Amino acid sequence: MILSVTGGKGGVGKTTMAYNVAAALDAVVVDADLGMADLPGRHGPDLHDVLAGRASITETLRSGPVDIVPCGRTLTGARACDLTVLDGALRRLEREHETVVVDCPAGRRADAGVPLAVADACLIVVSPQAFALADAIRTRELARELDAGLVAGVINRTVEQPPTGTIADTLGGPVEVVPADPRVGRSVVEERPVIESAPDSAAASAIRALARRVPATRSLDRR
Amino acid sequence: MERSWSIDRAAGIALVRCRLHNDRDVPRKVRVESLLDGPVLPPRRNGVPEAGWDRSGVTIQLDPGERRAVGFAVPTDPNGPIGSNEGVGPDESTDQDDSPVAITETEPDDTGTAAGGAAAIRRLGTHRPPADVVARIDGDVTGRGGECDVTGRGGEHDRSYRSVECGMTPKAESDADESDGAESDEAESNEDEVRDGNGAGGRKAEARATVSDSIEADRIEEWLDTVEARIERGERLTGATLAEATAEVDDAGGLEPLLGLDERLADDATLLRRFGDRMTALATRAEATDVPIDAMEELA
Repeated sequence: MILSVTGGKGGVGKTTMAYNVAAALDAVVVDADLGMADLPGRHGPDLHDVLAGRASITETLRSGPVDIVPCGRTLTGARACDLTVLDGALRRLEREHETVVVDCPAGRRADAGVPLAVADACLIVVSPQAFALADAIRTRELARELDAGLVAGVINRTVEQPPTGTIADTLGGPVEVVPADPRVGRSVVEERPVIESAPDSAAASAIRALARRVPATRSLDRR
Repeated sequence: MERSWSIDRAAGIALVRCRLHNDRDVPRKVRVESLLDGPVLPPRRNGVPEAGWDRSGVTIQLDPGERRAVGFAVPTDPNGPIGSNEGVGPDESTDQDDSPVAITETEPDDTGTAAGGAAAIRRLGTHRPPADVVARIDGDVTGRGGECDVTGRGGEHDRSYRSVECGMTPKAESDADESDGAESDEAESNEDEVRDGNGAGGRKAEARATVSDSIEADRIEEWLDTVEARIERGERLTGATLAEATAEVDDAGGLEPLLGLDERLADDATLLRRFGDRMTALATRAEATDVPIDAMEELA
């Protein structure tokens, strides 16, 4: 199962969601934001190298509480990426690790589209502000065009009750609400998924609920 | 199935055009295969061949009554015949002696659906940050570059070959995490000079003139500026009205400086093409190198 985590805008929490949902799914998370990587990096080969044909994706795996395929941080590296390679690379990772969560860049360009086209399903992260919804709708359209089924919309960092029904209707799929929680925000930098750092929090249970919506895979069956 | 073809040859490239018409009431799948000696260069969008194309031709489906034109290029012997040729494929066999293509009907199958990723790349805009931005950001902020686009062409038009070129970029060139210091910085400076010379502004070229090659790059830039001015003049005079031409002659300070402009522009074109070809070839070779620094360090 390849699950792309996407959203129309930058800064809505795609990376945080990808990381935490990957933790709940016991999955590998791939930082596919070629121009603006967010997941922790490391020395050695990264996704830029994979997409430039210099490394195999399995060589790039960085183990931790959630295994990460980091992405390079240079625009030079981003420019050198050949996205036609991504499909094979992600499939290879899937063969070895069963579930792969892909943190996608924002926008409607090829770097945002290809992970959706390759994915079996997607999560769309929405910020609760009304103006952010337009971007989420465009992303939903893109996902539909590229045949990435919507697992759920994620309304992230809510402080008050969002118009869940409206957003669900607009996206045409179920919606989970992840309340604002500083532990979620810190989870990526500290590499501590919220289901571990605060398993009883509302955010952790929302993330577990999201993970349960992801179509059954072997890793889910194990649970 | 009605089909006809035409072929144009110029500068070592044959351009083959085929027209197909499904004159029946059922959808039909057709395979157009090149009979020319050389790889088929298919139409591309954002660097990815259009759906259905492969190294030897294309497979397309035609709806009832549909007319479709397909075309491709094949690199051929540059000394071969120049000119154009046309023909009509009779009935089901197109094996005329001089036909550049074999057009056959194939069984409908499901293999026509292209990989999702490739389709997405064709449809959506490129993800690649523009070359000048890469030079500015990666160059100034991280102090390293290693852009594979050595010729500094940037923009949209060179994407089709980018993936091939970049596939051969040596690792040290664009790995942010590796400490490959001086060597990479030097390479970056050189590349920036060249890139700036092609229109991204000369400021950085001056600021970074730290290596001897930059002097040469400046001269190349100067030369390109001169040529560009000449070409612009030629462009203004191309199809100009009497008034425009008069203004141009006035601007040039008489007819004298314009005499022989045609020949000089032709010479410019020859030189530019020659250098361009050589630069591209050198860039490809530079990218294909892979100096085993690590291994040598270990052995040293």
